[in-house]
Amino acid sequence: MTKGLRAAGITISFGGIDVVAGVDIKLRSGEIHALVGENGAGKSSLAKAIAGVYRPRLGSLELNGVGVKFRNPREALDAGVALIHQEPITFPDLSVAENIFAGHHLRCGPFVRWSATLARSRELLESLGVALDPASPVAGLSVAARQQVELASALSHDATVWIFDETTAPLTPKEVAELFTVMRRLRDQGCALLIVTHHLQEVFAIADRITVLRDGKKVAEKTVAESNEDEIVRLMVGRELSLERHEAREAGEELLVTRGLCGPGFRDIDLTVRCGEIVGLAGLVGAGRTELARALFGITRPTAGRMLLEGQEVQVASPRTALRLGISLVPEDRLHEGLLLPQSIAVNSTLAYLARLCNGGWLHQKNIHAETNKYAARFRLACRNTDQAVSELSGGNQQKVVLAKWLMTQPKLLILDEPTRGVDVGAKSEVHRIIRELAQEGMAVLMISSDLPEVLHLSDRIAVMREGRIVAQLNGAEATEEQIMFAATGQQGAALG
Amino acid sequence: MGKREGIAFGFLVLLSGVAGLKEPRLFQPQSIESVLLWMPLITVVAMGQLLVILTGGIDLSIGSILGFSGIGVGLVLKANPHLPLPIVFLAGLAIGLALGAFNAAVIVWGKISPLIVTIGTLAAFRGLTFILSKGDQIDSSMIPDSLTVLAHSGITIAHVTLSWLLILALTIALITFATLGFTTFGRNVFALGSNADAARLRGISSGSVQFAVYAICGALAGLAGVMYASRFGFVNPGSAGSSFELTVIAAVAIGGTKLTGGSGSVLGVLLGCLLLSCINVFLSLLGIDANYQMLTYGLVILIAILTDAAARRGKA
Repeated sequence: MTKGLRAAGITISFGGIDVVAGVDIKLRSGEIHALVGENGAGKSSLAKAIAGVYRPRLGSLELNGVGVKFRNPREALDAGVALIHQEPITFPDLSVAENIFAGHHLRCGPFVRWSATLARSRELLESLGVALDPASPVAGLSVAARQQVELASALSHDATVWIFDETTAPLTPKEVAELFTVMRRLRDQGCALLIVTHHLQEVFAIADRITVLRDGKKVAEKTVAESNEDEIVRLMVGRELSLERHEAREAGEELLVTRGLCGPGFRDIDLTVRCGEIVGLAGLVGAGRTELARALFGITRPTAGRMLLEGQEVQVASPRTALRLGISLVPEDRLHEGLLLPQSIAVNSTLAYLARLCNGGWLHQKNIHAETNKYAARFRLACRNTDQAVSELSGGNQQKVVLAKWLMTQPKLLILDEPTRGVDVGAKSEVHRIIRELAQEGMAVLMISSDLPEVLHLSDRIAVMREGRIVAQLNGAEATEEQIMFAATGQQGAALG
Repeated sequence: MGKREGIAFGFLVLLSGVAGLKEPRLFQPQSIESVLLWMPLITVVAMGQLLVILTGGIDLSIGSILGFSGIGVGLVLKANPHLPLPIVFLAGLAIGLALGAFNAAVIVWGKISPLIVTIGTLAAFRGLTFILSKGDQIDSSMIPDSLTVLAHSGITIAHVTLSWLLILALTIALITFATLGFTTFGRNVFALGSNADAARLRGISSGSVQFAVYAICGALAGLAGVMYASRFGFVNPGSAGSSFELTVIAAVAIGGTKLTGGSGSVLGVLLGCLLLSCINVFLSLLGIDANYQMLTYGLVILIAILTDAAARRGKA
């Protein structure tokens, strides 16, 4: 079989770490191929490498039997390989028709053939079975409609290989059904489709073949007919539990209690975190975990429900209030939300605590350095000295600086959002040690993590979120990866928890 | 006429109405002609600035380019008083193109913010103007009558003369309109300003689009240098085009152009230019104390832009 796209030995590296290692995948024409895996398994990276967004370090691509190399997405598109994004990348100020043809306008010399553009757009949208007016502006259209515009644009390039990167995540069930109709139509026309997703029901509803990735490696390729959801979940998780389980700790008083908390991206959250307890918050990307954390820290405001801190009802109106109440948040995106990269370790780590290290409004360099050195020693920070710029540190050491910054504020409740993402193994166990020590000292810790072994390793209790709700609360000592994944993906097994 | 243009147009009508009630002389051909005298310069430069702002950039050096071109062309005319007029205009265009291309090169190849680059060249080009002129003004004696007459003669319709300069400016506006609406280059300008990432994904070369708009913007400012010499009959190295960039940006903004790029129209900008020209003339006709004219001018600009912003927020 030569029709379709074949990727062989694809290896993609970021910052020296292989996020995808030697993966072979074959997208046959007339077939829908699903690429599944846990968060961080490398599915999106692989998809983007096929579509020319990332350049693989190793490996080769063959389109219809001919070797190809894409230096950018446009080259891939010209060859007929289209990437449909979860959040469509469109021109909000331009019309639907122009969004379809931007970059390859129907032209006559330097002039755009507008009437042909409108007519051809109408044809493309109709052939997708989409009711959109090509003359209407894109600003104000729904995500689903903007995806349809991207689909039509790919169609205008005569795409034969279609890559859907988590495209269903922002859609309503009805919109998903419409998208599936389009996908089936493309398949029946002989296109090769790759869908990247972590919703297994969708995989079994639409795909013909499944490739499972784990830790950047391909662990299985199955046809839908010969597999089932349980098997796929086991393949996705399937690693040996090499990490020892945590030692039990004495949980203290209830520190944070929420009752029916609702807000942007989450609903009806009943959650308790005790002093000296680590509560893991598991779930898939987009399940509402980060949104919940941001609301607890006062970045967004809950719309309903109550939040109690040490038994007192509180309203966290802003991060400033949160800090005063003793709540700290170590954000997910440390580069944008956690650090001033060109500044020194001392400046970064004392940022949230500066007022207390000052002398009548004047910075007190001696205090600042003394305080920073205390944390640098405790965290075994690998640096020349505390005046070194944070940008020169490794990911793990940067994360320690962020941790130090928030710990200086002496929080009672520490919220960690993906504390070890992008951190190497050694630094990861250091961060784990610090988190455990903090809980030992009586701090209440709420830890969002997509790394299941980490969640199981550290958590006393595990709350699993799906579609904005807490769908399961598991005992940290007894839970298994399968139970968490079942709950997070909405499979039958959730009842076990 | 879209909503954007509507606001500028509404303002124009309102302002003329109020001013006209206080001073009926406003609607006499002479007043209209003096309004139209303001239009050509600002229109030509605003078309270039519109292109730049549509890509999401800005060019603050246009006033200095205008001054440099005015002096440069003046010196050429001083040496060759009988140079044919088309050559004179082309010389201005070429001088502006060279300076605009310099801006473009630094912005595109140096990957530096247009704001910073053109603040730099705003000063640098003005400095070059002083060096070139040795501090001396180009006097009316050095500018041939065949050039200055273009500002006052032209086609007369119902006692109102549309000067040749105005006709030139409107022609350039028409070409800009056609370019933006009907050429792939024009559409790429909109695409780049609307979403630079999306433009890159679609294979639109942001570098070449950016280069072109700064070069064109410079060329039009250079052309305006010749028009300045024609309109005023002299070119002072210090004052020609000085702080003109602010007037032009105000005209572009009043015309409903989104200052972050991606949205705007030639018609809107033309109305913006007309509005600013009217304000200038009305202020003196209404006998507003000279000390208050600048403040009033500024306030009208602020109100027009606030109205546009409020309308946009209402729509969203």
